[in-house]
Amino acid sequence: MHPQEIDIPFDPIITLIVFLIGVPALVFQSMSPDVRRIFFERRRLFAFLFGLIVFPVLSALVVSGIGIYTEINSNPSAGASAAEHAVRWIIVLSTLVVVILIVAIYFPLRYGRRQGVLRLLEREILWNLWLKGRLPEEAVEDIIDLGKNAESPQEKSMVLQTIHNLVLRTCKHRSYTGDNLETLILNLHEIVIVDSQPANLENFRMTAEILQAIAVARKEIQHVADLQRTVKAVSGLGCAALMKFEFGLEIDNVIMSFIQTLSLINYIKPLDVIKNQHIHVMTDVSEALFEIGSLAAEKQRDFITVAALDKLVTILCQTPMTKELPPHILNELSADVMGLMAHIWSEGDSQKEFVRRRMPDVQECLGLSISRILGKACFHYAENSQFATANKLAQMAKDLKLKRKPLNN
Amino acid sequence: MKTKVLWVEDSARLELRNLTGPIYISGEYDMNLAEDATSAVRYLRTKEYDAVILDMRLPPGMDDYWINVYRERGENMAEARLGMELANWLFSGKSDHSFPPPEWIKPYHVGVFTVENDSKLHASLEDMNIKVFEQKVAGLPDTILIDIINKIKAQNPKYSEKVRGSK
Repeated sequence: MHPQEIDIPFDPIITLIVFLIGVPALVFQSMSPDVRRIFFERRRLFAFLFGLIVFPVLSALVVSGIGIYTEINSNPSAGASAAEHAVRWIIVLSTLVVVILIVAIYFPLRYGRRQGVLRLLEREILWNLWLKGRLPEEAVEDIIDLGKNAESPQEKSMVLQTIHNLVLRTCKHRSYTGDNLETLILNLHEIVIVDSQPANLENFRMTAEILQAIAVARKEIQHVADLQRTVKAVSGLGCAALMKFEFGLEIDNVIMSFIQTLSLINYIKPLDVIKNQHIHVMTDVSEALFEIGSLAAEKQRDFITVAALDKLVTILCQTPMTKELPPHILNELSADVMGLMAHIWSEGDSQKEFVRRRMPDVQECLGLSISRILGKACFHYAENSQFATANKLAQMAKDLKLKRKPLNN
Repeated sequence: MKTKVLWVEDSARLELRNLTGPIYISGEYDMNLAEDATSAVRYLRTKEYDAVILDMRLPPGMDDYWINVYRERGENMAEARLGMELANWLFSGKSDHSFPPPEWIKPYHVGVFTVENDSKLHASLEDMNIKVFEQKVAGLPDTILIDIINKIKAQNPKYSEKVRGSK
């Protein structure tokens, strides 16, 4: 090569830079549609990603520019040798290759997967939480969408772990009043119950943990709104778990976790301005325990049924029977206990014997005769169009009348 | 009033029916079950228990603090001994957990039910004044939990005074 000729290897430089631009484009192409949608819809995320693409391209241009500049300004009279020329371009081209390698490995790993966008969304939500004390609903919906569209249970677990962190941070935040998690609580089930996918036990277990974390976030809370939503969500998911999974030790344990969450709510003291708000939540809790317990009885999951009844009786007996307690609340609580007892009763003789043993506790707590409690419960269910339970109560009353003696013995 | 019990045990799912069955059937206990360190902290902060039964080998659960402790100790339940770490959080003040331990709990509320049985474990429990210990071995009766609960209650001044009063 003649030293006075300017010999710049444009071909490899342009090829490498085009490839560098192509890597993020390929990553974008390979993203699942829901992840790509989140990037395109969220300007801040898109700008962040754009910056991440532009930065390596700019560095490649700068490095190439420096190479070209040095080549042009090299003094041929100073005797620049072919070796010097070769070394210069080896340095420039290998720098470009290194940049490409970093981008090609880092970019797909970091942002090509669901985890990448999840991390970016989490950062955005935490920033908002720190700034305003609230979770931005749009970002929360996006996280729920990521979970809903995740194909593998492992990906769903990642989303649920992120949600758990967000819940803990929100509940710890000084501005958390007990009413900031509506979107999250109401949509959480969408992640674990997707018609086109088989339900995953671990995902259910994590959801149970999240709901429990919300339910017992603070011993004293200002409002019961999140608590009430959590109770509904726990009830729905508990029943869904019973429907979706066949009998098994693992699933019983997850359902027990839902039941325990409900029973723990009895120990939360909301400071709601509206009087007796807590008691109103307890009727929701009692209803939820009844729903799970009666479905478990129907499916002959005896352990779950017994645990649900035990918790119901505990809640009923712990309710202070004061003058301020609205009568309809006591009716609801006692109806749920008796309703569940009737469901258990209808399942067989051993179950009948178990119910007989637990009845005196209820009688003692309410200070009423069993026939009166049964009558009220029957009326309650008939009034609420829950005729199946009303019928089972009527049958139990009938059976007890026939066998009144053994009960009194 | 029912006796409030918390059983912290990771393999409880395997023994759920035979060990907790008698508890639920009796109707005398208000029982909660925590399967990992995260849930155990949550329960302990929410409710005052008359008896807390601790396993030594626990998974971390979902809390970052416990996950990090678990990772630092080689991600092995036997090595990590998160149950002991939980007891440390409760009584020795050695834990860096962001939540302070609940004030109501005293060593006499706690019993240990675990497969481990070495001198180091006993020394640590003794340091914390935890006296009820039961090793988990094959062939234990189904009422073992009730037995442990009774032992814990027997050392609780609230219950021993009642017993003395009734005598």
